[in-house]
Amino acid sequence: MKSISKELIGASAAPLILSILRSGDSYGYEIVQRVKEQTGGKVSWNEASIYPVLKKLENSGMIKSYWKVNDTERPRKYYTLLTDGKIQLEHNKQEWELIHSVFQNLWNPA
Amino acid sequence: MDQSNTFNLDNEINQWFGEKRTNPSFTASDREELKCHLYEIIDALIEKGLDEEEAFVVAKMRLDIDSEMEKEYNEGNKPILQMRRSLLILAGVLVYFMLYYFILSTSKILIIALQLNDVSKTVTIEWVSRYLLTWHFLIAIFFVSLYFLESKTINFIEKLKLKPKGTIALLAIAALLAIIDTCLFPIVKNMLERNIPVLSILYQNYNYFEFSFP
Repeated sequence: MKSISKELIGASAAPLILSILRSGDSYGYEIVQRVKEQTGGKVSWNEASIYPVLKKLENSGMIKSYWKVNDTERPRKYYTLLTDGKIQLEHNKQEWELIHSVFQNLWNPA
Repeated sequence: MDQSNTFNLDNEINQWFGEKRTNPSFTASDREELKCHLYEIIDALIEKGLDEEEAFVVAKMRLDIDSEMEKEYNEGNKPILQMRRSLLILAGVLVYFMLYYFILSTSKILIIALQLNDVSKTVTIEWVSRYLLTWHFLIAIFFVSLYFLESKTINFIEKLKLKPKGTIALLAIAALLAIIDTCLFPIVKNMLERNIPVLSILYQNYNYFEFSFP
């Protein structure tokens, strides 16, 4: 399979980030790696492009960032999912499930 | 010469980020975050067997920041950038008042200094007149240079990193200069012994200055 189109990557970026953050706080590099793992490398973001999306999510109050600094690790900016983000994720989930079911019906008619 | 001996990863990374340091679309936190991401990629590539220089080149490509992304950053940082612009406009207004009161108060200090040195009142007023005219001339040159050095001026303003504390400091200085100017005026009047013709010329000079100050 060819890699996924730019438009679809753009549309799925925010729900993907929110889904990853649902399982725990994470930082930019780790989020990119998790998406790569989950999609077997078929979703290949320009790695810096995640940050404007994170910024938009943060500005709209769905996630919150904080710097984690300790002696043993590199300083990292972590993101945490907020209540508005959880609500948005549920909404996104319903949307994607609806689209998925529409395609299922169209491609596999009973 | 072996290139790997001369390659310094931290220097190269700092140099690469130096180009972004002057870009107003990025905040200091954005730059630090991108830098951390770059180091993470480099570490992972080094673990896979690449040397530092190779890893840096690959990491730069993977973390490519094009003009489209700069726009997105700009959009995301809009609240911060707008606040920065508002602070700059406020600072500009305060600098205007600072300059205005600085010229007025120093002209009065000039009168006091000349009077303490027993210079005649007419000569004192002439000196004040010259002093104010010089300032006018300098300000005119400044504005003409702004017109001819437009791009450099814009670059300079965009590079300015003004914090709210800095704006408050400018406000305090402007207020202080205004107070000094107000307090010096009765002293000047007394020193000129309330000589009506001399004071009227002085008032005329100040009136001219106030009306024509850009």
